[in-house]
Amino acid sequence: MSSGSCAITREKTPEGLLLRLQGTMDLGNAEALLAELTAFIKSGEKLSLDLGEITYIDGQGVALLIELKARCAARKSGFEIVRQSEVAKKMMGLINLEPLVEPLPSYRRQPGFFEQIGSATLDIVKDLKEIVRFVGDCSIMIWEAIFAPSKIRWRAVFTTLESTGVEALPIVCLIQFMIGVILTVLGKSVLGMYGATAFIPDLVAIALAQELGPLITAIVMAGRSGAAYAAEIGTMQVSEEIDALRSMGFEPGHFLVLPKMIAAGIAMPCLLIFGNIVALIGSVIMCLLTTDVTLPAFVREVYKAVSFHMFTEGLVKAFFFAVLIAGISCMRGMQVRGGAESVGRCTTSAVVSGIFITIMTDALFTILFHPPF
Amino acid sequence: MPEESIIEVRDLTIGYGDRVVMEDLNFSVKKGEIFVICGGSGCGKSTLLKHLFGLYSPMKGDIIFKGKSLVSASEEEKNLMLRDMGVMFQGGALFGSDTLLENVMLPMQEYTDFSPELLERSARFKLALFNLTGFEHFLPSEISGGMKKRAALSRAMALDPEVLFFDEPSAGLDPRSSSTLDATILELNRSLGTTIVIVTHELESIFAVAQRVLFLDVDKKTMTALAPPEELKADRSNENVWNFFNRQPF
Repeated sequence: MSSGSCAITREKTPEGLLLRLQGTMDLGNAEALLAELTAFIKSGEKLSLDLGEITYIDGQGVALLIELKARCAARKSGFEIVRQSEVAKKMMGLINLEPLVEPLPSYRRQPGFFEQIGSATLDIVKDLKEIVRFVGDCSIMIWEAIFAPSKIRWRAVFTTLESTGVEALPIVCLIQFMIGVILTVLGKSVLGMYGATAFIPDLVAIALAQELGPLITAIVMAGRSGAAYAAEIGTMQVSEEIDALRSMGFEPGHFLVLPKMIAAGIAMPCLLIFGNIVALIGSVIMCLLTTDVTLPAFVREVYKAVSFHMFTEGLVKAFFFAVLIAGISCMRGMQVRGGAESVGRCTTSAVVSGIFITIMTDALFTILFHPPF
Repeated sequence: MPEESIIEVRDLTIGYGDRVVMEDLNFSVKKGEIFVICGGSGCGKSTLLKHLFGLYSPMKGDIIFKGKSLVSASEEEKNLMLRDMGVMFQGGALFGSDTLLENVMLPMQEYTDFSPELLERSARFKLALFNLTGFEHFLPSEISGGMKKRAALSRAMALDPEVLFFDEPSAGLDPRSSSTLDATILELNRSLGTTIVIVTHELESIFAVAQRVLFLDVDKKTMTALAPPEELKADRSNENVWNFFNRQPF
C-alpha cells in the first residue's frame, strides 16, 4: 500500500508556522518525514499542519504525527492539525489519539549497571528463600512418608524408576565407559613418565568410586531426568492439572514430587554401581591394549585401592545428589507461570540448578568425608 | 426456587500479590441452583471461581461453605469440604499420563476405601454417564476436545459432589457440543439436585442454563448485578450489564 513521497510547503503565520503536507505519509517515508518536520519545531512557536492534500496515510503516518505532537509538547511549542483530507480523517478517527501523546513509559529505559546488580541480587535472594522453603517442605514430606509408607504412590515411584533408572542406563554406561577410557589414557601419560603404569587401576578406581562416578552420573541425571521432571510438572502447571490436583484435595508435593525423589534416590546409586563397573571395563580394555597391566593385576589393584568406606561414600553422595536434583527440578517445574516459554525457561533453570547444587553438595561432602583441618 | 444458601461470599476482595482484581463481593449461591458468574474478558471470573473452591486465598473477606469458613479452615477441614465439590477446568486438566478410567478413579482412591473392583465399576459408571463407554483406556491426548470436557466432568462427578464448579465449559467447543454440555448441566441439576456454579461469557449458554447471574464489572472492579439472565438483558439501568447482555460493541 505504500506509495510515493510527501512534499512540505511552509508558510509563516502570526502564531507560528503552517506546514502543508502533500502526498503520502506511510511506512516508506515516516522516519524521514518525522526528522524533517521536527526541524521546524521552535520553542514557543505553534506548529500547524495542513493534511488536506494527504492522499494516503497508514499507521506509521499516524504514529509520526503523535510523536511530533509529543516533541512539540516537550519543547513547549503548540501543535495543531488545521485541515484533514478524507483519508486522513478516516485513519485518525479510528481511535482517540489524545492518550497516546503522553510521554512513553519508562520501561524503555535500560536499567543501569548497579540497578542490574541490585535486581539480580534480589532475584537470587528470592530464589534462595524459595529453595530453603522447598527443601523444608520436602524434608517434612519425606519424614511423614517414613512413618506412613503406605501413603506413598508406589506405582508412580516404579514408573519414574523405570524412566529415571532403567531408561538412563545405556547413556550412563556409555559415558562412564568413555570416562574409564579417558582416565586410563591420562593415567598412562602421567604415571608412565615415572614408570608407574601399574597404578593406573588404582587411579581409575579411586576417582570413579569417590568423585567422578557420582558426579558424572549426577550431571547426566540433571540433564536427562531433571529436565524431564521440570518440563512435566511445568506443563501440568500450564494446563491447570496442578490446580485440579489441589481442587481434589491432593498435595502436589506429595503426589508428584515425593515419588520422583524416591525413584531418583533409588535409581542413582544403582546407576552409579553399573556405571562404575562399565567404566572399569573401559579402563581394563585400554590397559590391556596400551600398557603391560594384566587383567589379574588390574582386578587385584582395584580390589586393594577401593575400600568399603570409599564405595559407601560414593553411594551416599549419589543418593543425596539424586534427591536434590529431583527436588530442585520439581521446584522449577512448580515455578512455571504462563505458557510454553515459561516451561522452557524453568526446564533450563532446572538443569543449571541441578548441576550447581550437585557440585556444591559434592564440595560439602568432600570436606565432610576428608576434613582438611 | 430453593432458598437455602450453600455458598456465601462476604465482603470478598480478591487479587494477585498487591493487585486487587475484584472487591466488595457479597452474594450467596443457593442450594440446588445453577449460578453463573459472567463479565468481560479479564474481569476476574475464573479467579473468583478458584477462590470459591479454596484454590486461592482471598485478600480480604470470607467464603462460607455449608456454614463453615473455607478461608480459615484447617487443611483437614478444607479437604472434607473439597470432598463435596467437583471442578471442571477450562481445558479439562485431565492427567495426561493416566487413562480416562484412572483419571476418574483418582479422587475415589483418595477419599474412599473402595476395593479395586468397586473403584473400577464406579469409575466406569461415571464415564458411561457422559457417553464415554469404550474410551476407558484412552489417554486424554487420544480423544477430542468435547470428549475431554465430558471426561473432566466424569472426574468432577466422581465423588457425587454437592456443588460442581465449571470454568468456561463451552470454551473451544463447537455449537452442538456446547449445547450438549448445556443439556448435561441441566440434567445433572434436575435429576441429582447438584448445585452448579459456572463461569462463562457465552450468552447462549447463560440463557440456556442460568437461574441467576452475577455480573462482574471490569471497570468498577466489583459485582454490579445479580439477577436472572432475562432480567439483566431487559434492565437498561446498568449500562455495562445491558451492553454485555445485548452484545453491544465497545
